[in-house]
Amino acid sequence: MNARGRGARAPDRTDETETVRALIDAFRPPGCPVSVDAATRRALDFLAGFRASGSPRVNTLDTSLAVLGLVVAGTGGNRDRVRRRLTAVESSLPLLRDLARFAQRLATVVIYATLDDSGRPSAAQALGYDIFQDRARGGAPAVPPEPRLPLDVIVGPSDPVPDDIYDVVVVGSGAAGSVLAARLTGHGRTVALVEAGDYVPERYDAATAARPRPHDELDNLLRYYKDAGMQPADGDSRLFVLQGQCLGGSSVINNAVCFRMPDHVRSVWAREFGAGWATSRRLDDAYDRIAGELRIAPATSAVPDGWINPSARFLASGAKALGWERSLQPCAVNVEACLGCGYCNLACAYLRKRTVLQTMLPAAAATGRLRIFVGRRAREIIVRTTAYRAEGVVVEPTRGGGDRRVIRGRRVVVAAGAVGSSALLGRTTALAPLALPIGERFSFNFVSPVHAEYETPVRAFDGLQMGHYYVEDLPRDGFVIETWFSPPATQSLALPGWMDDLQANMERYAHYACASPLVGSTAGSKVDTRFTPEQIWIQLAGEDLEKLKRGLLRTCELFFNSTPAPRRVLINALKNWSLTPDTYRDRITALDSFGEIQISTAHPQGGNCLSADGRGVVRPDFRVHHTRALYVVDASVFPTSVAVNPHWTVMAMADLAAGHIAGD
Amino acid sequence: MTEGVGQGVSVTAPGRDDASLSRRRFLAQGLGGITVLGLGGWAASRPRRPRRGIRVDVLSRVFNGQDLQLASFLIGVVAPGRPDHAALIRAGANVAQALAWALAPSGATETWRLDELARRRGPGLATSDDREILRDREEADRRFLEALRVMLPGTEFFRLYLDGLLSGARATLGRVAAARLARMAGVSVLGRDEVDFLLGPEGPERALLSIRPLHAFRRYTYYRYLSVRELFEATGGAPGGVDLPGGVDLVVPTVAGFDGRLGSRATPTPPGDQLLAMARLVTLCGGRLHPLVPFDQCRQTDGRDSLALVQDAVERRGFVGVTLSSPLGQGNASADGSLRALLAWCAREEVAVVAEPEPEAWSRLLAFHPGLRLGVRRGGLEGSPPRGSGLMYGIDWIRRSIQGEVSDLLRRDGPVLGDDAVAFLGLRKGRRTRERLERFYDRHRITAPAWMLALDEPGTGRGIPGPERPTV
Repeated sequence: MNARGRGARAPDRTDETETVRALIDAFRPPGCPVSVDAATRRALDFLAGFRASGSPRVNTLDTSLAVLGLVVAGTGGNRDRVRRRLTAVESSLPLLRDLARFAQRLATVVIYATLDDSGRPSAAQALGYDIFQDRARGGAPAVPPEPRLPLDVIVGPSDPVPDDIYDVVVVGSGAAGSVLAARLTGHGRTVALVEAGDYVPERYDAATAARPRPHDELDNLLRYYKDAGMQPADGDSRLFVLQGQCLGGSSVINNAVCFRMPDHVRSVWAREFGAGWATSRRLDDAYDRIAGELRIAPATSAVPDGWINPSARFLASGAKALGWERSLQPCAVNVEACLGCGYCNLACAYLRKRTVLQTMLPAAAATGRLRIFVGRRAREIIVRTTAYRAEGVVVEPTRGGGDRRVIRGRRVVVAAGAVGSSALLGRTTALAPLALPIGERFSFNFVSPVHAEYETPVRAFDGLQMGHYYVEDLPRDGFVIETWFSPPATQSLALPGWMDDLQANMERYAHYACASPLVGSTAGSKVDTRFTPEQIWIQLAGEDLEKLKRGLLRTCELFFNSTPAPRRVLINALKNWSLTPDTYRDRITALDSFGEIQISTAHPQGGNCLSADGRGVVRPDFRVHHTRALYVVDASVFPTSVAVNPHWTVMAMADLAAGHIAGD
Repeated sequence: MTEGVGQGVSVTAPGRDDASLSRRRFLAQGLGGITVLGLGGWAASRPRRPRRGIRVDVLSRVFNGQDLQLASFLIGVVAPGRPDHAALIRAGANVAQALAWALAPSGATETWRLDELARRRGPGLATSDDREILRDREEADRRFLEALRVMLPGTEFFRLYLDGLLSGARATLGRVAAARLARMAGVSVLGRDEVDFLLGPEGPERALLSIRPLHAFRRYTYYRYLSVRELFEATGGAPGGVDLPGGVDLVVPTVAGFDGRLGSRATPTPPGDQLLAMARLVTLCGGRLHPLVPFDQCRQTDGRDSLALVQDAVERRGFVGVTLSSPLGQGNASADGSLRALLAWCAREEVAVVAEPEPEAWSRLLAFHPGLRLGVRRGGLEGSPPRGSGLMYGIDWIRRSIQGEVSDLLRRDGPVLGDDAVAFLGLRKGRRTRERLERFYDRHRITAPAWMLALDEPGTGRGIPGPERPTV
């Protein structure tokens, strides 16, 4: 395979530019105010940013673009020919269809996220969307004074690694890692907190030009999301697993909704997996402590002026018409004095979401016992093979270009999330002889948004993204319905249709209310840590599909019974996605597999199952079986999906675990 | 994808007849007509002792299109070797790559598939029921044909391809077929019947082209295991394979090595994942497949140290040697150090190294690593290596793609290269490689394969020198 001197020519970035341009042109709506050139530049900038991020998933993107390059080859860039070829591919094999759909998603997101000279997304504005600063209440929103992290706590990726030995090394600074840092430093322990993502201090300073634009969807994906939001699940290439990757982790980019673990799940964990704490008062106390710090409160009181996702209005009227109004409740949220800008998923640039960045981490830093290593990925845990005692972590710069270093600790806690923690344990070769079921029993909550189109504009983007939930009998039904809405680029991912159909659906963006059933999956999936990067294999069961169908039916029912009545309801199916009161039951009932409907997830769970017996990776006290001084504390230890947003539960669990770890 | 299938049959045998078995005889003895899948098995778990010497194929390559930068490979390596078809190959390079990268199973996917087969069928994949495997092949073909329909039209490759067919179509296939081909030039999507026509057994590609690009492209989209299975079918012929004249007892393939020289892009399947898939295949082949693992001193692989990857493959996963593309660290001190560490380890552990023909550079390095088992591909080298150089000529890699079926390659003439592979690899009892394999078989509950039993029979094979005196 030696091509030296033989004139080998690999496909280059020039080819890629032409490919991207052709795709943008093909998916750009007629009359779109964003030019093909501008959107192409934006797309290429995004791709360059993604490649520079050090993501191990770049490979997947490169492969997809190379294949798409062939699809548009020979068309001479002619728009009609490109569209015909893409449509032929889309109607072909599922594998190629997914590729064509990926091209559509990428191009559409870029088009609606491309900013004009004034910094506004003009294609999105053409849909009736306005950015927050252009809304009446968005003129000059104050950024509240926040406790900042002292800079001497932060060790950047190119800074030298001090040769210290910490009491505890915590890998991952998200919901679990930050709580652990706060509690452990509070117990007098020194803590090294390792985070693969970046720290973005400029987001606190409203005056600086470097401050990220609050509404810039692509920029925020690159800054705050793992793999820029493109972490694929390999068992289903249409499914991306959204996770945060920044200091603060997913707590920075979540929807700010907080749920306690449902009672039936607590019982299962205690009864079947030996997690006695799950049903104890201690867990409730931990929930309460976290609630106090994050000031968790019902959305109706946390958003003073009532700027909550307007979708709830329609759900409420539908529920009332059906006599189920008591099933619709405001979510508990960790926001305070919310402006209702609708940028929760974009890291709440106005700092109204109470995240670990404003609470736990400054508190930990104030003790003088915390050091935070950002932009460094943990490669492997150092485990002495004789006694399986953890002694530190090998880290390397996430973006590459630097040497590996060792951060030593007397205890190591893995809190890198359901995917990252499994991967790290799996990469730790010293653990291999223990034959732990690392990566097994992986589950997740998944959603499939339902849009109801109304005659007059709903402007569902104008308010807290997720404000209400609907639940009747969770153990019986297996789903919760949540309101949800996002800025146009992100929302486009949840709308059905191919080419002209999607464009037509996007044109009604301002007229939609949206809600989605959320289903906790069975635990048959897996994070396969043998590969680099780790592979997420999705294995869903028939009962998962049945729960989703029940949830879709109920959501449609609520919308169709709302006042005023919607013109139609859209589900994110591949075909037959436009529903009427006469058709929705038959069409949803006819869904035969997950191949027919788009789902997504931001709540991966499991992989390092907690169990008192050999089924698990960690014991109920969070220590890895058969090891010393090695713990896992995050959603990866969940033996089953909690079937609601897991954020609050992860934090409460970390609060409990800190006691075990500090005293061990 | 297998490449160079059966081209070198390295023989150690009591009788020189077998030892000098020519390629022509090999084919004449009944293996030229290959039944693709279906009949015999591969890698049967119940060994049969061969009634003649051991045959070791050291020239095959096993990979699919996900494992390398296929377009650059076709342009830079394959096309120059076929100047008569270079334009067509170059034009088809991106088509082949796109098809392979879109359709071929990744290393991870293949590992999962093999895990699944092993769970259901047990180790060895003994072959009373091949329906499931046949379905994989049929599904791969179906997907390939379906993809061709939408991805071929409009490409420069397809234009040249049709031109090539049309020039002889009328005379060979008749007016109707020629007109049918001419119509294809203008369509944006090919019909299923048109694709079937192009690739059919009596179709124009077979009838009119001396190379068969679409057949070749199809092979790049297969599971690797299907190609290995076909390789065994072709070179073994029956369960166990070893009783038939000309059967190959042990295949020691190379996998797609580091292709950094082909371009800067990563391949869809990184080298580490490719090795995992191959390792799974090794366990399922019951001792008849033991690959060589590639090493590149200039690159880290998937964030892992190259040496660690090699050591893992050799010590735990049934690989029996290392392939090196260059003896040089390209001026990079770290790479030089990494290479020295590998060679020192290989010398100490008696791990065979197969390398590019740069004998002078190797001779210099060998001075520092006495006892290293080093085979360089023969390439243009003639005769014997310099006395005292420690080099061994005779392991070669033939860089030719299968144009369609394995049988195509077997029908070609080619040099019979390779000698004393058993000694070179250290497969005899008491050698380190052999001990590693025995441990590997124990761990995976693999019965000692036929080649091993035969080697242990008194009087089998020649006296094989150890690493102190590499065989020429």
